[in-house]
Amino acid sequence: MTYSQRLIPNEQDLARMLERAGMNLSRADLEAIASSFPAVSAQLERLYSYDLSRETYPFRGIFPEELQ
Amino acid sequence: MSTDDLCYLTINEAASLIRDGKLSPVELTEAHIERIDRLDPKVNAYVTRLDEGAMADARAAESEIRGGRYRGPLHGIPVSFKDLYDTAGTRTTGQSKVFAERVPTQDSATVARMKEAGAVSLGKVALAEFGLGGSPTSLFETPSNPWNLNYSPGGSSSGSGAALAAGLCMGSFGTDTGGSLRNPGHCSGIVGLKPTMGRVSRFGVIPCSWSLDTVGPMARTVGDVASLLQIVAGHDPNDPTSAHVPVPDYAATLGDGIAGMRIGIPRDYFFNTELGADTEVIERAERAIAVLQELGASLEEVSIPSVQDARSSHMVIMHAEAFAYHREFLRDHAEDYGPVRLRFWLGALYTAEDYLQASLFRQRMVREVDEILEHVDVIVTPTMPRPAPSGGASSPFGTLMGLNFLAPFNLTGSPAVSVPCGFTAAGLPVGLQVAGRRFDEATVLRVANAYADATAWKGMHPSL
Repeated sequence: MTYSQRLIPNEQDLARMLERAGMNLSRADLEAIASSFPAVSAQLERLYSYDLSRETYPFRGIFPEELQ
Repeated sequence: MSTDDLCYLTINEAASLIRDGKLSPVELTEAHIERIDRLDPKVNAYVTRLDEGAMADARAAESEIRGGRYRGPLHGIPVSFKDLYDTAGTRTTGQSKVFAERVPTQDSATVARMKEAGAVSLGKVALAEFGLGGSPTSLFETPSNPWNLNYSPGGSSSGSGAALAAGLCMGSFGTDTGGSLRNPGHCSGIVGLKPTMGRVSRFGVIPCSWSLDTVGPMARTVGDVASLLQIVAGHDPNDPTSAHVPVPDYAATLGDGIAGMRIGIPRDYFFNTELGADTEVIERAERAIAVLQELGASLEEVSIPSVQDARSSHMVIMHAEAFAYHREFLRDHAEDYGPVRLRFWLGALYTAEDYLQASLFRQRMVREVDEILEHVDVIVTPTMPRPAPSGGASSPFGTLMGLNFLAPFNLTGSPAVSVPCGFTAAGLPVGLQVAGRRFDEATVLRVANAYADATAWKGMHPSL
């Protein structure tokens, strides 16, 4: 998957997603969250710019050996 | 010795006096309670005080020690706990109205081990709501920085940093999901250690982000942090992420010095004022590195190639995991959250692909840091790019973008400590971060201790 295929976050996406989870946000809260979307989009764009095919298992080396 | 002098003893100094019968745990605890009465209204570090319990613990400690049953260096020492640590019979709120009436029936592993060691709990201290939000929170006041009450003491373990700097406890326990032990270390001029993931049990600590959360000690000196870590480190069957790794004697190597040690300096990112780091902070860190060199360490320029995007990976993982934990509470009690609810809701936006991409990036970060630590013993950086921020309301989203010196070592699970390395011209503390190999807290503490012993910062306290 590349960033261009990733659905760029928007206010309506978030409202629909949270409504399905039983959460109805106020207009003010939605607008406040939406103010962070440019930063979130920029972060995702950076993350999807990496070829991470060499990284095979997400938690190797982070958690104790017996959990891997 | 005056009350104030008693409260600024180190744990290890007080322990020697208590062991030798020259200082009573009752006198020490009374001194702290009197100081909290006098100064905490300015600092707002404590959210729940346990004066009666503390005095009972102190009297019990005194009686045991007089009876020849000295338990060790934490016996009779007054400490505090971030209000995420479960305390049996005492409310544990996460500084949120959501948990305002929550009273655990069992102690967290850290609280239990500290009780077993004979420590005296003065109470629960403040934090950013659930360890993630900024200011304000939905419950209790936000603490102030004892060095300048108009500034933040750092967070999220804000009450721990403020209480230690103000002499309102001798040790404290916080948590670190994205830097919350080291950030108050930097901002409040104290020592905060994020141990290796798995080194200290997380049992009974309200989670923020299960794969990033780490719990650990804070104190005014590196030696005191080592003493606290000694008590709480080690495997705990109640925490499935707790590691079966032997715990060394931290005090045994703390004073060994750093002659011949190899220190990696990643100047390209962590010392780069062109990326936005504060010139005063960088200058203090450079001076500290010169001291490490004078102490016999060899310096090596290193680079963590992908570090500039560690924050992006960290944000995806942390917000997604925090939303997963808070989902039901948000559905049923959204009105009880402060502005932190906005950050939790943000976590709903990430897809499984985002989370996995971030997790694979995390693995890349582990590989890059491990490769560096194959040929240097520790990595040294400034703890934060800038001094403490001003107090008052802050953005509920924190700093989503920009320089971040803390999150890389949450991603890698590495041990990292912040030790004071000076002050800005405005009088705000600055911290030096020392990060090392997983489960090698001993080397990280040894470097921090060598630096602290060679400089005068640890003896400085704010006037309140």
